[in-house]
Amino acid sequence: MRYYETVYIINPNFEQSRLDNIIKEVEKQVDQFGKVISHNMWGKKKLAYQIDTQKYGTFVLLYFESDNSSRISDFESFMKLNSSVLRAQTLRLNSRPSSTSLAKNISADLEDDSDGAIEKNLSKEEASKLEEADGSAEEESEAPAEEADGSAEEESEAPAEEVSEKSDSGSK
Amino acid sequence: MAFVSKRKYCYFKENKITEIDYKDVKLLRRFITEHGKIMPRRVTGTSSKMHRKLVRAIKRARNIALMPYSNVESD
Repeated sequence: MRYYETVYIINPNFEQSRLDNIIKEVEKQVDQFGKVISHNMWGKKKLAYQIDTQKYGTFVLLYFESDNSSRISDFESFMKLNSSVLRAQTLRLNSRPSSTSLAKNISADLEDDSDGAIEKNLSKEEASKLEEADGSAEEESEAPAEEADGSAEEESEAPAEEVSEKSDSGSK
Repeated sequence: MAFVSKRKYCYFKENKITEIDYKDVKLLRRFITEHGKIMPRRVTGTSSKMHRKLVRAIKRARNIALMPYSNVESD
């Protein structure tokens, strides 16, 4: 028995009933050659890049098992031809996914999003602090630049703003 | 001393991580630059074994739009 994991993205504009239909359809497809272990919605997430002019997508995580490995390519082509599925990726797992890992994946991802937002906020705060520091002491602002690549970018913007301010005051 | 640099050490070895999940975007985000490029081993200090796994995970995450291929436009 082989275990597989599929993540697919559904068009975010679909209402719940239509989503359920798609999920049922996918499940039916899997049932033809294997067995569904778990089928979970991650919910609507922002995509890292646009797919078919969509900025958001509804992520679904599917675990299934099958003996018939030759049918996997059929399943993949079914997902590809399904116009409501933006993107799908199927992987073979080395072992049966444990029930804890099933739960963990989802919660980890949800935490992920909120943490990501916090991190972004922090980096913005850091950037604003750095901007302040830039004015008072230039030497101090150089040290964090080596530690975090991210802050280095925003930092480089800060002196540019100062220059523009100076030129403004100069024109006045 | 001017030329003493901080010792780099494999993040995964330090935290006893043996498998990298491509869905764990929070972890993977540490190893890409602002532009979405994968950081080289000489910068991150990741062991060669784990770097190969890391690269695979990042590329999988990119394929499913969890991570960017390129992040130039947002700058």
